[in-house]
Amino acid sequence: MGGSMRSDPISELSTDGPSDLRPVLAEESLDVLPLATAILVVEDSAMIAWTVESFLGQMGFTDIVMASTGEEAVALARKAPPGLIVSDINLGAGADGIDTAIAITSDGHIPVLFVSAYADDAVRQRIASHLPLAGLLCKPVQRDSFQAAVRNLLAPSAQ
Amino acid sequence: MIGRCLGQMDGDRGLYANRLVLAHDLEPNLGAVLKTALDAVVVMRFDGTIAGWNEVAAETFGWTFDEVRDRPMSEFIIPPRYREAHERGLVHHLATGEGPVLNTRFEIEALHRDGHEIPIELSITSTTQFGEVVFLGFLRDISEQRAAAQRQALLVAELNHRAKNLLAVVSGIAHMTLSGSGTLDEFETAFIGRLQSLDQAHEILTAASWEKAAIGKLAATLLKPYIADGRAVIAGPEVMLGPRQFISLGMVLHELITNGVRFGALSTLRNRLSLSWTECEDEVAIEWVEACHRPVSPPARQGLGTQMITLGVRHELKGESEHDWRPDGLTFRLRFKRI
Repeated sequence: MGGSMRSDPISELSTDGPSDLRPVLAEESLDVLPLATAILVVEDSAMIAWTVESFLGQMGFTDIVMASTGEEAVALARKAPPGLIVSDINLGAGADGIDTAIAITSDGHIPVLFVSAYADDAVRQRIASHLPLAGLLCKPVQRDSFQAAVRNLLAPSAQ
Repeated sequence: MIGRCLGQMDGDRGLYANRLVLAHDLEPNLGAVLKTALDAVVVMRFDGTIAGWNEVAAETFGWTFDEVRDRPMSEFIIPPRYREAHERGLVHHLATGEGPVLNTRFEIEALHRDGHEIPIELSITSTTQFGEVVFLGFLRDISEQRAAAQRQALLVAELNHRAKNLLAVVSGIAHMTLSGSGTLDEFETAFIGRLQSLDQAHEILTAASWEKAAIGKLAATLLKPYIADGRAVIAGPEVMLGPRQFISLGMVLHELITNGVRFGALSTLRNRLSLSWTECEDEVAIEWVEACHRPVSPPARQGLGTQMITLGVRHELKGESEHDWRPDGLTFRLRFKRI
């Protein structure tokens, strides 16, 4: 990796939280992004999903699919396994984003970035125990923070 | 319990008097306290046995005074996990005269006869009864206050989550509107318009306690000025939608209205617009039909509003829509399953 890894706690870009979650870097990574990565966006709000898609598109990603429910996300992932999952946590009725991500990446090999208004201690604890490498950003999220988090998760050194 | 609940008292017996459950040899003043208190009052001797027990205590804990009189308090209303501390507290008080919970208020759980626990506010005082110290425990059932506090905490947390989500939606509207605007003036007009429509949908839902609201109310609100000047007519049965679909449909109608004002049926007073809806077995069908006085041209490219409609219909309404651009205006059809 060309850029240096900082050990900023996740709280610098979101809210208070345990430092055992993967740090989300505010600075740009110098790694070359794997822009062919298939990205699955799981978000029940169309406007937020569209915004996330736009943020990803601005970074150069083109293979982006969107699901509005956990069940839809699992079905899409079965058809075409994603290389990155960007997910809300509260998806209304049905499975939430954490259970959905666990179901899709049962062995934890797919990077996950949660973008959610639900980021209390219980949520953080669930993420830390099931998906310790996942990132977490709190809504509303800034484009720069989001894109930095994606870079960090997809940087070759993070794989 | 001196340890966690009341203290102990000198031994005596109790009786009922005028619906009052009371140790018969309590002094008159103490008897009056038990008789008139609105809270459960328990009188305990130094050995931990019960000397007095008013009617509120009987109602609150399910034991009559005859059943508890002269027996250890810890057998009745102190949950097992607190009993050891209670006994230790009594011994400590007897040895040292110290009683850290005396003359204070605190919240703790007490045990009902049927085994369920009751949250109570407890205050313990001591007094002299025929020359010997006894303890008075005033126990107020705070189940309702506790439940109300829990409900309030849940509501505050939910409000916080909704506010954050709404801010994220507004942030998304700003981001996408900016991407479709040529100038800041264009952005301002489009952005504020979208926020106003969102606000109107929220107002209707708030009036309906965020449960379900009618399509007709949404249509009448968003199209109000055009209905008033005769350009628009709306018609349909009462069809109620949940918050998510309601807000999504509000966004769709807003984009149709905005397009209609700029290019279609709402651009001049001579044009006409008909918005109608039907429902059959939970499937909602909506039709927007413009009748323009002069020929209109279909847009050269899919604008941001049309993209927002397409995405909202597919992603949130889980339905299908079609735009039919005709010379006399747009006909838009939308079908979705009511959830």
